[in-house]
Amino acid sequence: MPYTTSLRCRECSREYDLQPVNVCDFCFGPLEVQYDYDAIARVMSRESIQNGPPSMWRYAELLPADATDPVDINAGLTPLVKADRLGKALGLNELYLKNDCVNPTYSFKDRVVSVAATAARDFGFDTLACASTGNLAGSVAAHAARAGIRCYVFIPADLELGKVVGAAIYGPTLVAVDGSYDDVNRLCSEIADRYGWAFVNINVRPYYSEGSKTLGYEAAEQLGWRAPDHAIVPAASGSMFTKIWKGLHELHRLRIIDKPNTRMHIAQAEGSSPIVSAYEAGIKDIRPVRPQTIAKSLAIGNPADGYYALNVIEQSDGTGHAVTDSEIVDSIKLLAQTEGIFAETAGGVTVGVLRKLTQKGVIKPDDVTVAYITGNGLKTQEAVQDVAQTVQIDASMRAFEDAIKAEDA
Amino acid sequence: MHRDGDARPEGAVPGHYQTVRELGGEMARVRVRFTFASELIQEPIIWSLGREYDVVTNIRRANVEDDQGWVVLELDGEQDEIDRGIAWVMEKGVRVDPVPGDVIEG
Repeated sequence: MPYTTSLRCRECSREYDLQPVNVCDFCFGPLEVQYDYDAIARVMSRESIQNGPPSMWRYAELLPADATDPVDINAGLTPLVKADRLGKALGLNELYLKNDCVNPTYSFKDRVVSVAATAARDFGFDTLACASTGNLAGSVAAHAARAGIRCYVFIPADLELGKVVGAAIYGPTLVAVDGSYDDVNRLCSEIADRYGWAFVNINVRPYYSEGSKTLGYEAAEQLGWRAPDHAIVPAASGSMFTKIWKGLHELHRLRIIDKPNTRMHIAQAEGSSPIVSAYEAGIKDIRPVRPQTIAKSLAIGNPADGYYALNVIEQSDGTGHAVTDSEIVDSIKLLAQTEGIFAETAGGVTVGVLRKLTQKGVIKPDDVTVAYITGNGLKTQEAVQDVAQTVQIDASMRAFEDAIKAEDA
Repeated sequence: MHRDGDARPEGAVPGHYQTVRELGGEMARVRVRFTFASELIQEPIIWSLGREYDVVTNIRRANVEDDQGWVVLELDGEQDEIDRGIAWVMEKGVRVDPVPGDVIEG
């Protein structure tokens, strides 16, 4: 880790050596990795990035893990799609979609887990672990397989079979916990305390979360080295939202882009929107909720980075909005039927909030706007299964032609 | 019993590695966040927790507003006693969460 210097508490600023811990021993505030930006500025440039690997590891100097041999299944450098048809439907001329559906395990989690797995290996851990209801489980299991280390994945006992298979195929030990969401939370927290494992979003969280910065770097690079005017980001813990903002500012600090004036908009589902609720109430104190939404990948009732996400909204003159389950479903369909991108429910949340921001006039037609689509729709097919309408015919040309005449009419 | 002093054993690694083994026997140390709704703010729940159960409470950070309060604290004691204490606190209507927020992700 040549460019990382320490861990610093985000609350009391106490410094710690780089180690696998996530909470300040004094005030229990979250720890964040610090970098030697002067040293990075001497080696990092637009050219050095463009000459790097075609993955998120092209930004290795700004990632807290040894990049000489990362645990890499080729996450990142996903397409930034100019969305003309969706843009036309919404009245936007400069709309771009960051399509993270196409990561190796079909969600943005591959970015954070690649950093976490590499850091875990650097620290000498022999076991990678997580608690997940879907995307994270698959990504952690895949990276552990790639690294050749043990893997424990904790899932709720009632998780859908498709999601179980999506993790099980990589060969982890899957532990199905019979209990409420809160029970699983508490148990995994205690297991992380007791066992010397790398729990990607617990003791390795300061390293893990930094992987999301690459979503900011890539958007800027793909826009021709500039920050967008608006970013719409789905939020569960709020971590990715804060890290995209941090990533844009790091590029500016390194003189790779001009000062970002990006307005950061946070997108949540109405049944799990503690960050948006606090934003709307004008307070910084998150009120935890019990999530109830079809957007299960965003169902976090007590978001770890909610307070910091609210700060980013404030600093960037951003906003926060929530959408209903039916708006999520409509937006998934709109995205698929205008751009050919089948997103999971979190993508429906992003597009739903994008629509709201456009209708309210917050986003102007010529504003450069990046909407983050963070996971693949094949993971949450049940949300849109009503689209499976077919035209039933006998196996004859006549039956077919009668049917299409009826369709055309 | 409420004790403000730090009960951490010498040499323990900071953060999440103060394990049961380091504390010896069946002793455990658990870090939790209590969230109180407005009707509970005036009740001395943390004091009662230390009095009713053999658990040492050590507050690290807190914020109390008109309609809600939260406290981040460490609980030291036998694992079973801590579990019983947390169950009692939850019965009183307090929300109990892991300190770093939810750890189960999508």
